[in-house]
Amino acid sequence: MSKLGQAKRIIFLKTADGQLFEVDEPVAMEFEIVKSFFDENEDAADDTVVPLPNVSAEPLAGIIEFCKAHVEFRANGAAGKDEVKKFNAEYIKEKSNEQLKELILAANYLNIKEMLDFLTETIANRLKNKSVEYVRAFFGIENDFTPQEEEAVRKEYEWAFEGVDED
Amino acid sequence: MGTTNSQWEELMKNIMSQNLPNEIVIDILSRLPVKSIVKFKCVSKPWRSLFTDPKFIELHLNRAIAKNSHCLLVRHVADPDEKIYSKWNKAILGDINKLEVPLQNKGNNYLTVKSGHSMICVGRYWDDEEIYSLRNAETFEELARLEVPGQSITNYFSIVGCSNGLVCLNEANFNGSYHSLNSFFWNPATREFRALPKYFINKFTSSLVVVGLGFAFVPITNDYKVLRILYFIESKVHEVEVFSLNTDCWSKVDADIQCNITSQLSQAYVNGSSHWMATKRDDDGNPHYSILSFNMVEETFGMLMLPKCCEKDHFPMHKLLTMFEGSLVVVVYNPYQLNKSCDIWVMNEYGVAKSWTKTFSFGNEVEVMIPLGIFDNGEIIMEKEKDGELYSFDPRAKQRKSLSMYQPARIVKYIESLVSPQGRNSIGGSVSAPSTSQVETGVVIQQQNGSV
Repeated sequence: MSKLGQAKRIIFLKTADGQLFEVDEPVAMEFEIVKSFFDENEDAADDTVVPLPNVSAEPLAGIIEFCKAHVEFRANGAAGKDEVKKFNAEYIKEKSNEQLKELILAANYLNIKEMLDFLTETIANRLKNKSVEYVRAFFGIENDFTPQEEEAVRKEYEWAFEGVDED
Repeated sequence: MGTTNSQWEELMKNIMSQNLPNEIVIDILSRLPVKSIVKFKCVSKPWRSLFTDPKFIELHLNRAIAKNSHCLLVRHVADPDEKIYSKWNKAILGDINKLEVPLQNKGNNYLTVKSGHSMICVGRYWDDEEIYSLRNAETFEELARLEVPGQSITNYFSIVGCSNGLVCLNEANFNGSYHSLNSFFWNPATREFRALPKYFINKFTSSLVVVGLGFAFVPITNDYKVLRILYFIESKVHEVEVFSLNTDCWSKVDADIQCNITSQLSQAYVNGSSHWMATKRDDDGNPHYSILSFNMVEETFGMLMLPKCCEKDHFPMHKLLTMFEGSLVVVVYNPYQLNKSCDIWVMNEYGVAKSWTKTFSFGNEVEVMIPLGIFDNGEIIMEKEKDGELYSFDPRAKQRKSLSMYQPARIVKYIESLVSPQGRNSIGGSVSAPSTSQVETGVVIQQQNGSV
């Protein structure tokens, strides 16, 4: 909590593609990696720029949007409520698989547990009814079965292939 | 047992996603429903190995538990016959010392024992179709119909219990000259099913009653165990056998059980032990009630005291032993008393007789309703004595809701998992044939003919 009249502290973050972000302190502290940077460098100047060499601007903007909303939800005591679910659903609605993957890599690097949980759960939900081919492409997995071997596995578990969505 | 770290490292190395780190890939996969995981076995060979790896199976299970994705597994019959119900209703064993030998059964396709019967495993009771389904734990809405993949001789399996997505079934076949008692492990989500190895009951000519069955996961040894307590009517002795999935065999437990289990259905698994309501005659021949416990880790028996008020009385069927929020609970009910009061006693501190506390009383039901169990939300499963219809009863709001099914029925808590019925030494193979290397278990009870 900032004291009355005291200016909100701003944290400066610099992405891999050279963009500078100005983030409210409580939001930036959601990023474990930023938090530990300041924990380790207690006397860091207020205008210290934290370099984020593994994150580019686009996913970082997305992550800031998510964390900002969730910091507010928590401050308003709305955590876990329908309001949050609605925000989360809206948040991922328009995101492509590629964007989700970028977000997940960034959230993983920044070490934001809550968001990472949400993103992996989202991906699991997207993939659960998809075809084997779709999932291979999603993760970039090489099929090391021979066609005969794969056919045998499919046959053994035929029932699990009912109700597969179109890719 | 389990996966060594180096095996896990090897697996992690081979998952090889080109886009995401392996920890993330595994995190995502551990959140998938079982059916999707089975489908994705044919993504690649490393994935197929991952999905049968004990560490992954545990991760997946813990995720499901954390999300509280429990539901109910229910077995009931499509259209129960009223006549059958009237017999089923007396599902108590009473005092087995007084059983007459041979057990008589006239014109019914099931076994009756003096004042009733307790056996879940007395062959087939009815001709109606058995229905297995998954139900929403809150609304009781049907989520899916299930089919038991195994062949049954009697068309009747009973559910012993369910733990971590693994269901233990039992089947007793008392038809024919050699009778058998077989147990099965079934994972409804992966559709794996296996018969457990057969085990001799070496008293071929003795009539016996299965008085206790139990099934539990033992975390300390990461094992699944089945327990069965048999009572030989002529010799008046008990025999106790335990199956361990880790060793994949049955073994006999030395035990001197000095009391009688009054009802196999009044059972609770709490604190690593199975519990049954039991009686012992005092010097004057009056029954004295207590709780018999069997510790699944130590494989030893013990006795627990009941609340003082229920130690002595003559209505064993109206003392239900069950579990709620991890504690032993006794529901005491005397439907023939004028005010029909039903008391709920909780053993707050396990094993401490003084900690029995009456937490709730309710009454005023016009019809005779018999408690059968407690749902996680605190509602009580009740059976209308008149016709066996099942209800859930909210004791606080005093409201009851029909579950649209009749006795005989069985409701157990279920969570879907990848846990294999095959044990850790023999991963693979979805359905294993019953072992044929041993002779059929022999139990002779008076031949039962005729049909219901």
